[in-house]
Amino acid sequence: MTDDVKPVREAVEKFWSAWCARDLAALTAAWDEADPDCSYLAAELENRLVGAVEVYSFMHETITAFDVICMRPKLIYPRRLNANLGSVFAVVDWALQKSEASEFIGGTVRISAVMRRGDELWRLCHYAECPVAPLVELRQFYQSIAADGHRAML
Amino acid sequence: MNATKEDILDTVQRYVACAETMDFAGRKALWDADEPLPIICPEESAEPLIGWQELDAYWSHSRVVMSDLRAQASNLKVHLLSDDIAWVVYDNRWIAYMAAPANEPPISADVRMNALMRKTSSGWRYFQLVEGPVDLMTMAYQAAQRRARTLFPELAGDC
Repeated sequence: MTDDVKPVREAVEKFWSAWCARDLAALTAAWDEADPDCSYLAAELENRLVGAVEVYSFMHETITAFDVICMRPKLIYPRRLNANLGSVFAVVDWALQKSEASEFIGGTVRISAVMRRGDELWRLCHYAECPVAPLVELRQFYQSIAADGHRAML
Repeated sequence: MNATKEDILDTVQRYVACAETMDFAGRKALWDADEPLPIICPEESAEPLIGWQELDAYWSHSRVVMSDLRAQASNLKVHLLSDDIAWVVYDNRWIAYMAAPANEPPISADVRMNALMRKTSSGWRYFQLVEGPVDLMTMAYQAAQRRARTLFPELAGDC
């Protein structure tokens, strides 16, 4: 078994770059579409998307809905599980803008992903976006307002 | 269901059942002790917990901040990626009584669990577990839906 995690890391970084470029061809190419159980858990959806059709449809809808998509990883732990399997745990900051007239919205998600090697290429078979609990995010929001207010009062 | 999947689900059910007695040592025993870099990312933790030292500290802290914890898994799905590696997902409904302030009503939520498990000589064991709640905007919408049902039960059929 090889311990080389570089191709695993590069594959997931390519996926994030494809999001930023809103490049549907590159987004779909990142997936192992032969796997009928491939899945995508989007933070904003209640149900997990299963199978290439659902995953591709979601990615298409997302790049159509937003003019600007930014993904910036700040922590990446790639693993080599065996010769043909890899996984990534990552923390990614994101921001989206619907149109020039609208404000950006953004946040941070933790990613758990699994990749499989086929034809020398590493492709995703599972990808889960996991935000912090809403209760915690709200507390962080209140804290950020307090921090701003505190500065303004000084 | 084949024997392998049954073994995996047995590990998951035992892991979830540990909540009943807040048996975090029991939970640790269901992790792969030989994994050099275990990762757990609880929904309530602002930062991921990486390495045994952080996992141990988390489990110790959990015993202090909660006075009671219950959990129930549903919708379990196993994707066997190889003979010894599995992607396992399930929904976890938890209900917790916090230690402080005392006598507060419990809080509860559903969280989507994303586990990576490895077959070891002791059986199937976790080596990465990432909890995925719905995001804040989605939960705000769910909260408003629940509020509408509570305030206007007579509208339930129309909603």
